[in-house]
Amino acid sequence: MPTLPAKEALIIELLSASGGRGEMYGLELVAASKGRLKRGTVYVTLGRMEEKGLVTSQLEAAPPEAGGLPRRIYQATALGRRLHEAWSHVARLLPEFAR
Amino acid sequence: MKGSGRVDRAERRPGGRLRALGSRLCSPRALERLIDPAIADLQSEHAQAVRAGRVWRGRWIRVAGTLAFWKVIGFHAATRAVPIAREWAAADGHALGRTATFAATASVVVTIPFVLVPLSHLHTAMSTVHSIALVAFIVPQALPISVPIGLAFGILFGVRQATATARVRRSILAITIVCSGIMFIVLGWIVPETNQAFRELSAARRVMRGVNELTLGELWARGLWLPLHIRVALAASPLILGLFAFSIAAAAKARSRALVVGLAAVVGYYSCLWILVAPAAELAPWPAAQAVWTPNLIFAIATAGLLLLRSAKS
Repeated sequence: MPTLPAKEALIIELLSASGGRGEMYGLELVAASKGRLKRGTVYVTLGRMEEKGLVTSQLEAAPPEAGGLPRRIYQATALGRRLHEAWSHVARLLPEFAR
Repeated sequence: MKGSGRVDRAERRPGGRLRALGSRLCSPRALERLIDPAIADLQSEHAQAVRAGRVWRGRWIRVAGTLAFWKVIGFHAATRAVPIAREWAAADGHALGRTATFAATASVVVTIPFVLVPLSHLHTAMSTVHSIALVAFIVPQALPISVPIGLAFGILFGVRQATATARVRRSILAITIVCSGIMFIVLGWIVPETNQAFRELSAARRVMRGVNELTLGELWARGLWLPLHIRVALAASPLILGLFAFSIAAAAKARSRALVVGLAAVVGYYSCLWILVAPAAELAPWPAAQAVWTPNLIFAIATAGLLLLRSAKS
């Protein structure tokens, strides 16, 4: 059975609740998580989630600061949202299992 | 002018060097998915701070971003290392995985008496913190004996005639060289310091350093050649005993035979070294400092002979 680690669940939750925009930068996720995500690990987690197909990302159209690298913006996939819903349901029914 | 130079540096866009470094350390995919997003966010956050005229905030972002970059590199390396290590351990019938497990276990088992015996001679009552510190100080002096013995037994248990492939041989050679390098540092600089700390803590006063508490550099400077040669010869023992154990394991048809020969060899090696560093060495027809290398020389010749014999047979 697939599992959803707490940090991955939090990222999908934050992306789903991002004021209707549905997409966020890595640092925005760190700021919105109120200390639960760290700037040193969020990109590794996002990279792993992208490989699993739970989030998708794209480079922003043009860098706002001339010469800077384009920022990567993330959004949850349908699979990620469904897994999060299912996992939240499991967590409510079987909290010991989902811990 | 100096102040404005500082502000210029603070305002300069960060991440250029980090990205160049990242491109050397990571695969193109990792660079695109892990490093670039981290640096792009760092640059954006820094630019916002500079635009708002918050120089110190910009500096803090630069430091935090650099730390985050190294964390990303560390996590990426750890994630990549786990499957590589698993594959390495599982290849050739798990020979290297078994060797590593047995070597680590045997090293710990051999270390225990070397720690307990000196501690049992202390009669002073100590607090828990002091007792833990004493154990930490006494462990390094055990390693130059326990690691070579553990390594030899790990190889004897882990490697069989059928699994002694060229890849396993290269890996064992690399492991024994690394262990010898570590033992050189331990014997040369760590043991003198931890020995001294142990003596002072157990005596609860300052104690004059003895020969065993001098670093390799100090032994060299004072011309104390015998202890210097003993330490360097001991540092070479993981390489010597490890390769000898490999040659035995690769040649023996039955593991029990390899273990018996290996055990006899380890006892012989340390007995020989013990005799040569004892006062008997002074009576030897050659200089005592060179005499301590005799066990290493004998075992190196025996290893070369066994490996040549094996290659001639195959």
